Amino acid sequence: MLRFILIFLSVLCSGSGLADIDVHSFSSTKAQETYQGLTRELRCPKCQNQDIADSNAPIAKDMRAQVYRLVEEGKTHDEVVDFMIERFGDFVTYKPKVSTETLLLWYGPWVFIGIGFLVIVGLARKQKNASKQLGSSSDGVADEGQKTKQDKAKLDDLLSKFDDD
Amino acid sequence: MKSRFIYLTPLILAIGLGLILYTAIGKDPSHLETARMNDPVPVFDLALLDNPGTRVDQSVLTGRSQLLNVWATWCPACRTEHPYLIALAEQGVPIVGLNYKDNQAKANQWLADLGDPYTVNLYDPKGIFGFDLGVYGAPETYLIDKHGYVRYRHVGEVNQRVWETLLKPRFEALTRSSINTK
Repeated sequence: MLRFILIFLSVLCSGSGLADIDVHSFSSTKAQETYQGLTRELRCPKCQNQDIADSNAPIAKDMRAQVYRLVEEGKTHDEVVDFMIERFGDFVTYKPKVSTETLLLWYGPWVFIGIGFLVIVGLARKQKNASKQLGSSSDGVADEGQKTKQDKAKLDDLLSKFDDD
Repeated sequence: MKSRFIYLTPLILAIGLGLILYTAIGKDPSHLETARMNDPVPVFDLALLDNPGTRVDQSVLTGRSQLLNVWATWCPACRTEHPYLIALAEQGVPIVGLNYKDNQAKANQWLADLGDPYTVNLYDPKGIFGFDLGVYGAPETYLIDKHGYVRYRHVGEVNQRVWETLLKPRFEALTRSSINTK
């Protein structure tokens, strides 16, 4: 039984040895937070759809090392992102900057929501108008009655003309 | 008449969306335009692969239009493209090599065994210049004009098809324009 537990424990421990984890010591907790934030926000150019914290590609490793170096040098979040964009393009960040090229990406959804809202308001207004007309239907029925009377008179008139002939 | 048009809007939207999606068919989503496009090659100071005592800077990439080929002995596609690079060099296309994150002895042995298509070979064992250039894997091949500006990047193997369709037309345009401006 003891042997079984020992084997079980050693298997549990070996997992952490297999994972590819960089060991960094940070000068401050703020630097550590900046580093962790950046490695989750920067995208690996080789293995697309993975952030560099998540990827074992050599380039992701290099990028993590550079992020660490820059953060420890006292560079801000935005400065590090600019550094990476300069080398790997806008692709490298999951949060692209607002520019003429990314305008649609950032504000497109809001424009569509706005259009949808206008359509709903328009439809609601139309329906309101329609029910208003229905609401004043007592006049309509009276009109209708008037009309049938007029038609009947006309018909009688025509029929009487035929009779004359 | 107006209400009839409303019934057509889903169809029109579907056709519009279809057209937008159609333009993306056949495009390689892994194709990335280099961030250094139309910018000068970053500043560097590297030793030559075959002569560690000699250091060179970005001026080796000026003076004429040339290719910059990023390679390493650990990269299988580099071995595949190597014979074609030799054929290009024999046709008179100048190719500068960037030996990327590699072992110097292994790299020199590789050139001795397989032939050397490069005019010069930059030795970048830590990938420092590669990182500044935006290299994210080997092989990559850059087209550099005579002023040292990046004009194109191809990621992956260079072969007959890549050369004929992607690199050669651009390379010849660069060579022509540099003759005209002389």
